[in-house]
Amino acid sequence: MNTTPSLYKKADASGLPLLIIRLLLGGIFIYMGVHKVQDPVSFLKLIRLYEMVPESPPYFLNGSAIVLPWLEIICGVALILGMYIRGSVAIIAIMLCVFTPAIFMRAMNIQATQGTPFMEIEFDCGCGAGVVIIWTKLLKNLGLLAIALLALFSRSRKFCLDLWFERRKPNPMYCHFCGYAVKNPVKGLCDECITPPDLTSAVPEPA
Amino acid sequence: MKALKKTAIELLILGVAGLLIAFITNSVRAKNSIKINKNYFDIGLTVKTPTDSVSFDVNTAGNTDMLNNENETNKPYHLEHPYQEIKYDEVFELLNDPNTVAGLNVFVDARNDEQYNEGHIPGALQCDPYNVGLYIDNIIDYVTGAEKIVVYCGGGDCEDSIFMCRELIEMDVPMEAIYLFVGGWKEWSDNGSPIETGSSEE
Repeated sequence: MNTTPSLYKKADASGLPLLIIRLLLGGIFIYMGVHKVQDPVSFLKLIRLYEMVPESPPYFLNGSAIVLPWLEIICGVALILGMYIRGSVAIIAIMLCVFTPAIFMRAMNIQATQGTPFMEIEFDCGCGAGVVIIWTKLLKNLGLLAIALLALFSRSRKFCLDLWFERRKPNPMYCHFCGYAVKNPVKGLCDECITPPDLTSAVPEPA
Repeated sequence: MKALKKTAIELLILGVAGLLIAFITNSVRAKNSIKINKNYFDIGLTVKTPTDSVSFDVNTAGNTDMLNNENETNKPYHLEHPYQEIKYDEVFELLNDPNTVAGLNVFVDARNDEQYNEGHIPGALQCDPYNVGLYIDNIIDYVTGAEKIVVYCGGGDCEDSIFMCRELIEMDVPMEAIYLFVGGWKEWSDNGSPIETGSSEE
């Protein structure tokens, strides 16, 4: 590959954006999951108010209240460790894609039935942060979804536990040195890592 | 495609792990465990109303308190229920009624530990409808044979008292003995009524 890599690719290959996103998303979801796990009954009462899941038969609603908090915690832990990154981010993205419209629809319903202006609507959405102003919550969720998608499409595996496992059982998808995903790594390395830095052009010829 | 397949496998593994851990921890936790098959929001007896509107305005249980405007304005989400309601004044009178002292009238607080300990109606017994198994022994002796059982929860939008009434029906308490104090703790404390704090000594 002789083309100059784009800014996005350079940034991604450094591993830093993915690391920051992993720590942020992982931290947030662990915090929220733990908060819900401590009081699953309150969480059950809150998700019931969305009327998205039928109350009878009860196993859908009850199952959601039992499983969702732990799913958040597991995805958060996986992200922080740097394992199963794509899988955990995919789950997080799916959750955000389900919760965010649900919150929006509920807010619209409140506006329609009670006449409260949309910007003033607030309720406990069940995420673990208590009563929140809904339009800010929606924006935050969209932001989280955006960074989750960035993490999903990131090709880096630097600073990840995944890479350590990759090195022990080489997988042709990743560069063994920096963990960047490449189509056809040569000797298991990506273009950047296989090409030694060109020093000759930088050093001036001795007079 | 390979990446998609790998992502799908990771998703599955995490999902299954999450499911297993969730159900295992739910079954071993002492408190606040959720029974998968129990409908916690069953009001007890199905009430068929002619209009099934989304806005859930007024309680249409067979009582004349419907005419009281207080019921309408403060409750954006109010479930219809079949239990007889009791108002604040009557509850206050019951507190000093000799029958209450004799044990014929019982107050049941349908809130959780934290809320109950912070303050409850004097003499009220705690029974959290979401953790009935833990509290049933506390109240079963008192509610069987009681003439009037006043059930309350937070008040306002809180419906836990309705679900507690259903639990009482399942304990074979006759419906005529059950009275729902809709105003709840909010109305009781807002009126500066006497309160008791701490856990019940049983």
